[in-house]
Amino acid sequence: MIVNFDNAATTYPKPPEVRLAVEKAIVRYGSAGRGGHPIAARTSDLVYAARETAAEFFGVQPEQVVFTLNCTHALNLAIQGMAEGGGHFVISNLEHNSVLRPVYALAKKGRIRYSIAAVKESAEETVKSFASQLRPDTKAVICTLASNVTGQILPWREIAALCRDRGICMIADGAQVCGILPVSLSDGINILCTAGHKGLYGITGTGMLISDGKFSLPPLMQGGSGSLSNQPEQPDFLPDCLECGTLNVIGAASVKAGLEFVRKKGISNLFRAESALCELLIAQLSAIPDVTVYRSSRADYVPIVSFNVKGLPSEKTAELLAKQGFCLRAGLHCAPLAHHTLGTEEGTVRFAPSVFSKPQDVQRLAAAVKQIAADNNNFM
Amino acid sequence: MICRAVMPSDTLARKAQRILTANDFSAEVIRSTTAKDGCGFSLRIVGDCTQAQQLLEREGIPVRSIRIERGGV
Repeated sequence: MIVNFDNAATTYPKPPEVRLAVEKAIVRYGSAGRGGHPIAARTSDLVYAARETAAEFFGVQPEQVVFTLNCTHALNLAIQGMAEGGGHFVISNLEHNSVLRPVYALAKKGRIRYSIAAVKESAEETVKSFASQLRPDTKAVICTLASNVTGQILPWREIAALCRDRGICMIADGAQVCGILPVSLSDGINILCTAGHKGLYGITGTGMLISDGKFSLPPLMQGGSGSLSNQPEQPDFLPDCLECGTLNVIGAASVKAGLEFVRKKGISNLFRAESALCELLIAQLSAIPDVTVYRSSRADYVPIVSFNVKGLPSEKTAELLAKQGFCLRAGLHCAPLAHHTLGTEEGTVRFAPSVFSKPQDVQRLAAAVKQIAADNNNFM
Repeated sequence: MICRAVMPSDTLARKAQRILTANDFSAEVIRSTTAKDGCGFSLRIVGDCTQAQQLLEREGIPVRSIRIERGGV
């Protein structure tokens, strides 16, 4: 039997409602925002309804929801857009490569400069750390709302307040938080980037950039937008300026269904249930002498736990767990900066449950880790 | 009275349609192509066109142009 504990990569399985929405979409819909015939009209209606659902979820207007390929695409739109005209950016030392790589690439070309703020165990110290990196020419702060490696939650409302007071754009990577904690642009975030396929339970190939419109972003791509087509310039209003080409209609339908599923379940219920599974695992792993769990009692976390078995590379641990049907991701999780901060340059094994994860499977996982640790100890 | 409002985009046309419908106007999104702007979307609105335009302005929905097609003075 296979059990998925790699939901931080993408949630699997998807809820029945999402599967049905995808099936229906394949049968019923064509292209949105292009033609005037019945198929185009009902498809456009569906896409607009998906925008409305997302807008309500994140506290914005429908036109402020831009559908993207994934969170990385959304982050690149935001980061590269804000880099127009140069400036100084601040990122955290827990960032995923979807933030670090575009920032690094822009800096390498001499287009921007950047600084890295250290995330501390306490929220207050983290805010001070961000404040210490801000400069008169700081244009944007880009930070994850929670680490994809440890799950540590950053004090994003306080960081957003810092930015607001200085007229700095706050770009948030919400990939590990959306659907598990209440996030809204009323928190002060200017541009929220998120995946549609993680905590929002949509299919892969979906993401969103949600903008309050205060900082305009030049498009990364130009092409057909279904509007003002006689003009050679890309439209300069949302969402058309950042969406061109044929939209992932089936993806939008899945995100709509996923958002409705999360809303029905209740974000606080999801957080509570999945956190309880993490606490269950941590309690069991902490009793194993040769296992290190990377959590601090001083910090807050989304339901993600990283751990290692002493003397075993993380990939080996994950391989041994996979042989018993437990699917966990090991290695650097595309976040070498976070692992460098953690001191786990060779990676960790990451446990990330979903709404479909069961306590009995978590207990079996813990028992499997215990056995792996014991076997490795005997071998050594 | 029937009027046609040329909208900047499909998204804004549908947003406007929802607002108008909620305020007792009849509004249909239709495809339009003009020599000036090329392809785009319009609303065919049944009701008092001046009031419709004012409603959309109050709601912050940009309208590229609006003209009466039938009825009115």
